[in-house]
Amino acid sequence: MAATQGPINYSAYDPSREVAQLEAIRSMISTDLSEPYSIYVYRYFLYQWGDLCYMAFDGDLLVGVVVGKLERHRGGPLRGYIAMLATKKEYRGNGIATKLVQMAIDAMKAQDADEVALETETTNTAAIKLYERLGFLRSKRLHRYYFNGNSAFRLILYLKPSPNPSCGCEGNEHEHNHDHDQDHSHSHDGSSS
Amino acid sequence: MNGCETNPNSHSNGHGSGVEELDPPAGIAKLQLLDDHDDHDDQKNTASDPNIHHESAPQLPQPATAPMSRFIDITREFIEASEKLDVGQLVKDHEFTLFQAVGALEIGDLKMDSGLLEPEYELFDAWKPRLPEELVGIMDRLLCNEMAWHSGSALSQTLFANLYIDQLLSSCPTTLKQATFGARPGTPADLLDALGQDIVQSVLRPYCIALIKCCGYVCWQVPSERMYEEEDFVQQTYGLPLLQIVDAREVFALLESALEWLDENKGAPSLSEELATAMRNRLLLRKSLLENFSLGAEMYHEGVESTWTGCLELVAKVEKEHALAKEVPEAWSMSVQRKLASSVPPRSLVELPFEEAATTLKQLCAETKDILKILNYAGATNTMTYFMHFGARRPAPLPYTRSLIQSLFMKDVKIIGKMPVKCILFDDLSELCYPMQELLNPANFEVEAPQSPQFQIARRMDWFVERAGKAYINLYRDFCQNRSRLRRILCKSILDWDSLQVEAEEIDSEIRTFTLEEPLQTRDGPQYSFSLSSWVYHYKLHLMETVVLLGFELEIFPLHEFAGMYWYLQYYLRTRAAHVERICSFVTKPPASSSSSAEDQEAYQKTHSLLNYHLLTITSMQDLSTGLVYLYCVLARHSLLGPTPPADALRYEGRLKPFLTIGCPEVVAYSAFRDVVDNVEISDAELLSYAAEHLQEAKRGYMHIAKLDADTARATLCEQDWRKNMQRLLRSCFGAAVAVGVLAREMEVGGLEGVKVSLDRGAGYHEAFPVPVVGVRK
Repeated sequence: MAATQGPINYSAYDPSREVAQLEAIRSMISTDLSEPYSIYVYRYFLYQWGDLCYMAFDGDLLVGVVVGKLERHRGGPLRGYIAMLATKKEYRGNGIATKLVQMAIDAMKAQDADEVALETETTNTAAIKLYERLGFLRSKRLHRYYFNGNSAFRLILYLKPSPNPSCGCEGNEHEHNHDHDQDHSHSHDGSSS
Repeated sequence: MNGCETNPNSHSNGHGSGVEELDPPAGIAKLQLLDDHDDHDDQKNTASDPNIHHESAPQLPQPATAPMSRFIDITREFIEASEKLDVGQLVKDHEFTLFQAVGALEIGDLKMDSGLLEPEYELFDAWKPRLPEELVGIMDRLLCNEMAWHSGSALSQTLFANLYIDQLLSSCPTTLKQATFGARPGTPADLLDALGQDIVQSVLRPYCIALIKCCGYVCWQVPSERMYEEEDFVQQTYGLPLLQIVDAREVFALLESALEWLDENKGAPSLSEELATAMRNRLLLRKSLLENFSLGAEMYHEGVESTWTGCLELVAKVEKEHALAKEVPEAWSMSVQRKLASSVPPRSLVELPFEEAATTLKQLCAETKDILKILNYAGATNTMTYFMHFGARRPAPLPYTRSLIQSLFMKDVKIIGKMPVKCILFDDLSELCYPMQELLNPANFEVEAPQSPQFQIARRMDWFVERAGKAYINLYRDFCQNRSRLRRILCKSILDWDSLQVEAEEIDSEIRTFTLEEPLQTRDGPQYSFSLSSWVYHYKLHLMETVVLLGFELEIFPLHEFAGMYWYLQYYLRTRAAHVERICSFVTKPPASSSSSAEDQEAYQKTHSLLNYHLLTITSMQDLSTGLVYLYCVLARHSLLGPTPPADALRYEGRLKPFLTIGCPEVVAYSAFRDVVDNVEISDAELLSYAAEHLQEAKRGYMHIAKLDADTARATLCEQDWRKNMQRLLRSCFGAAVAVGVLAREMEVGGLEGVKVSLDRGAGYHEAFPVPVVGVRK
């Protein structure tokens, strides 16, 4: 595991610097993605919830990013969503992803989120461990969720007790989450998303 | 792509930068490249109402034609308009959702634009002479494609990428004559080449046509029942026909002609006996598959015999002969996707190894033959047991079988082609509860005088058929879904069963006033049978247990939650045991008088035996779960379960979400829960000794069950599955007991330093009871 080259700086996404930053974000995330995203997917999140996007830099180099959103889920709870999370390969294993996720969650909490959700491949043990350490629960399993046929877990972090447990119907939408953080140095096959 | 969302709030928050809802400047065209096949609603299934008969008329596909004159070049206007926007400004229509964004493609991007693929299909020469071994290779690889499709891959990544099939279908043929490889170039003078072309026309074409016809049947059957699109099966055919309109007899005739051709030509120098036989077997297998796929539920209901066994025999032969195959990779190309599915990114072809394909086909034949057993009605409980075991099988049953079994079970509002829902529902009710005669007496339903108690009873029983019948029948369908989907369905349906229980209790009370039921005198006062709601409650509890069991099976619970969730399992089991005992107390032996028939006596005996069987299985699993609660409690105490995030009431509530609103049994208060799971007052040694005791009891229970016959277990239709299930439970008991033993020993000897625990999910153990393996560092 390569040691980090220098101190890591964390900052919020700056929309006025979109031209440079969006490209870097897109480039880092798309390397590991098996399913290609057009620029609209990135803009969809960053234009509406740029304040939920945090980046990690080693000097000028972007080494980690988290992208999310926050909206009312089916007229019920205010639900945060971790849409994308990625750390540059050489920088993994140093808690960068954990810190980025925590920053996003804190921002969602500050905006009164009731819960935070995401999906990740059932085989992505590193990601699952990361989120469970932060208090996420596996709430459901989604059969053949990804285009490569792999299944997913939906993970949820409850931030507040449910006000009215009788409207506890789980969300049913499919939302695409791509999580690239792997703490292991061995390569995983390119089909993981 | 996944994700269907409408975002009413997407433009309303002032958070992100500059999302202004401007009127689009003149000339901006919405760049929306939507895959025609629509929203991916989590509820997407094609036949949720069993009363709607879905008959998809064969579609006559139209090849896409868009005259070039309808395209307008808007580049200049677009550039002008976009220059009016600042960096960071976005014009977004409120109907442009995440789904649209995810589905958008960038033209010219290799990863997204299938148009960049070279159209290799245009250069393909279907008439290129082929060697017999190449034919075998092509037919075998097509079989691999077909099995991959059955297993959930898209046609565009499998069969439709085969260039022979592409040739046959791309003209959207509606008759056999139109399905050709194109005009034949003149017959070559070289005899070898001539034979090589003949074989393509006379053997490969019939094979491909029959294969397509098979797919046509499958494509009709699978979505006709409850099946979740893209999760289990991709029914997209890209507007191409699957020869649904062509009469199957024509296809059979074509196969016959192919077999004849082989007979006539097998003497030819390049066509060895071996290879001729190999091709013959493949044609025979295809013929057999076509015969079987062409059988729909109605035909099975009428008693038509299937020949799935014959298929199996042929598959065995085909497998052996696969060694003769010579692969022809040039006959496949991903480039077909540029014309089939240009609005989604190109996807690489799915390669299923031949051995796996053969195994899948054998599974398909065997399991499809097996489900026909349900047509020999052996009572409601036996039928339900079959469905529960069917759904739990590994490897999971294929979508075709999972759909066909639903059709066999329920078609045109009739159960297994012969009885109304009322019949199987009343059977289930009487098998479990042996309710008062008055409830189920068919004569009641003939009575027309409204003031008659019989009429009143019948009315309420009609309500029950309507209300409970729906939930009950849906349960059969639910068990045909994939396990992940089943758990999600059950999490919702237990709420419905809970409401049903409350409603049924009221009805029970009302019925009582007409039957004038005499209460049972107990210590707690007079008790009434409440047959209907008792039946509902029993199912509800069983489903709640299943939700927990599935949580283990699907790995939804991490190790550090095992103790708590096994606690809930034994809590629900315990509750059901008490409930079964309650039902038992109302199952009274009919007096041996002339008025009660032998049938009545038999029914009583059967219920009595079923309730006893339930008690046996419940208490065995209860002991197993309890033993595990104690075991995992000790493991957790010594931090042997890996990193454990802090537990708190919030997470507890989140985990128990599906059960929070259930009236009874209620979710236990968090503090009480912690008490019974952490057992702080009890020492490690005591906990391990309790664990050992319970596991010993569980073993005894399962060993006893193993000696019972399938009749007693109401598993006459699925005896093998049932026995295997019980064996695996028993093995889990043994495995857990070993862990307890090792732990106890290590503690005695000096402590748990260096002890490591791993989880064994091996196939020998029950999927909901993986075994913790306690490893000791020497």
